[in-house]
Amino acid sequence: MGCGGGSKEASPSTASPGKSGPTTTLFNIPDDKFVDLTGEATVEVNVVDNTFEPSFLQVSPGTRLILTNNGRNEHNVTPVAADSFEKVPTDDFAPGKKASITAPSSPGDLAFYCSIHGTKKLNGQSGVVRVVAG
Amino acid sequence: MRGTQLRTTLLAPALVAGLVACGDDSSDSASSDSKSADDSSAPAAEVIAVPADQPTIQEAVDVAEPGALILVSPGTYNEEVTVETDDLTIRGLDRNDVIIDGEFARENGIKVFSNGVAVENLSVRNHTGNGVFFTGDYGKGVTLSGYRASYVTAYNNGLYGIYAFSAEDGQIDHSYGSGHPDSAFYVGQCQDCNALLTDNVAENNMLGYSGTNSTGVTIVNSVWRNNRAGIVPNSLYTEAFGPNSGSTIVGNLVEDNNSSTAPESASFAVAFGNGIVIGGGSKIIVERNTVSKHKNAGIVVTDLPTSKDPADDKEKSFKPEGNQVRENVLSQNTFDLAYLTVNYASQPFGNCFEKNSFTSSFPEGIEKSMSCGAPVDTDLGDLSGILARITAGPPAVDYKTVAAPGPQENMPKAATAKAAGAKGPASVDLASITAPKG
Repeated sequence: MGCGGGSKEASPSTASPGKSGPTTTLFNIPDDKFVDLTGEATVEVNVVDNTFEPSFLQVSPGTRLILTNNGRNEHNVTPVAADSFEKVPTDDFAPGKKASITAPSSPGDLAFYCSIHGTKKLNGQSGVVRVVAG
Repeated sequence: MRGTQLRTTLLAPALVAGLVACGDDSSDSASSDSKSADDSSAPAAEVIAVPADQPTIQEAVDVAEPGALILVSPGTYNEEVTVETDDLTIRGLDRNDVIIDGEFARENGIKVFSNGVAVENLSVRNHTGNGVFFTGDYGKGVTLSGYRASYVTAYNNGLYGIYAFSAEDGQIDHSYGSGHPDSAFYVGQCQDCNALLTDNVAENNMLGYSGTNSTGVTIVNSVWRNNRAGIVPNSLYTEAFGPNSGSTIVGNLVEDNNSSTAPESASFAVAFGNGIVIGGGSKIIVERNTVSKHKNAGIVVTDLPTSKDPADDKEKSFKPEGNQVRENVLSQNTFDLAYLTVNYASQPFGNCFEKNSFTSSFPEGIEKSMSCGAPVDTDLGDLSGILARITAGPPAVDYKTVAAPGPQENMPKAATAKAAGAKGPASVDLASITAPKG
């Protein structure tokens, strides 16, 4: 039981976040944590209190992510690397609302979190979209 | 971090006298309430003073090592604090004058993602989300282990006052919450919560206590008054680990939870005017509480509220099963005791009422038809008649406008008590607790 503090699940690497588009190996998350959804044009992310389901997704370039707030609480989707995608603000993502994010065309990791219930270090409500070629 | 700033420790020669004093103080400090009693052989904790050593609480947290005590001087701190280091103790020197103020612009006062963290003796107000928030992340299989909030005042935050989610082994004590559109205190989505709430006061909230799908919460010796509803353990399909199960509610004073000046949550509007609501729970013990002056029921066991089950997208409720309501003292409630199933048959399902002091119930004669040990499938007749007699709540109130509370009791010896972190809840002798005087 227990998470062993803030860094056992996802440790920041020394790689610098990019200012636009995905970053590469931003967090040291093992491959087996990712749900493989490559080849899907559209994937659904269930946003509940207080987590993203799935939290770690592997998708193809250009995949459209549809996020739905199925919780009772307010949430948002905030990029860890500023400008890597446009934030889904709390006011636009009340319970019952949907939002979409399109995966970039180049491979890399796109990390995100809910600023109310998670952190940039990927503690709490947070996740990563891993874009893989082919 | 300001590299030239002094970071004090109790091992510094100039503070040796303080070390002795701390040792003396620890026996009756607030932290002795917790299982995390001081170990005199343990190394002294690092102490970081705010603003003397670090200008903000966040900067102090960022440089702190596990086990550190962050000691905050009086002042208003317009910041949001994120904790990602284990075993910290964040303590105000004066509960009423150390204020973390969200200015209705920031989301949380203190949010904690690490194990063993304690927050003590300060106030958190005016956040759009929560006052103090302890959490793991269910989606990643992360459960926070060990948390404590002691002598914390939380008011006028946009959701919860003190909020523990996907967290276990916790304690909330000597704390106060008012002006929250959900609840002053919340413990939820934990399979083995092992949480203790004791010596708290909640007033002017939608709910005094709410706990969704939380198993193993003990709520004792606290005051719940002038909320829209008092103590409401509940089960919802929107979160994991339903139903709420195995909690214990003993020795609480629950009165006049019919507030027209408290904020409202649409999800729990149906709870208005009730003292203790067992909403779809199971194996919950409600014993030796004093419950009075409610427009609906003093204590009600029900399958409400409903919630949408993501598995089939249907609105459902959990069946209440095996709850026991015993030896409570009830007066001046429209119904002192009540039982209602909306989506299930009119049967006891092992819920029972026994040895309570009361004058009214729904259904009538509840201690005969639903005595402990009665057949679980006894036909209770049509229970829907109570629905027409429920008093609806008054219009919602903006949480930002609820009057601020007066000064609250300070933690004893806040300046000198050792850092204790949070190792788990104190043990409680439930048998020694009597129903409080109304």
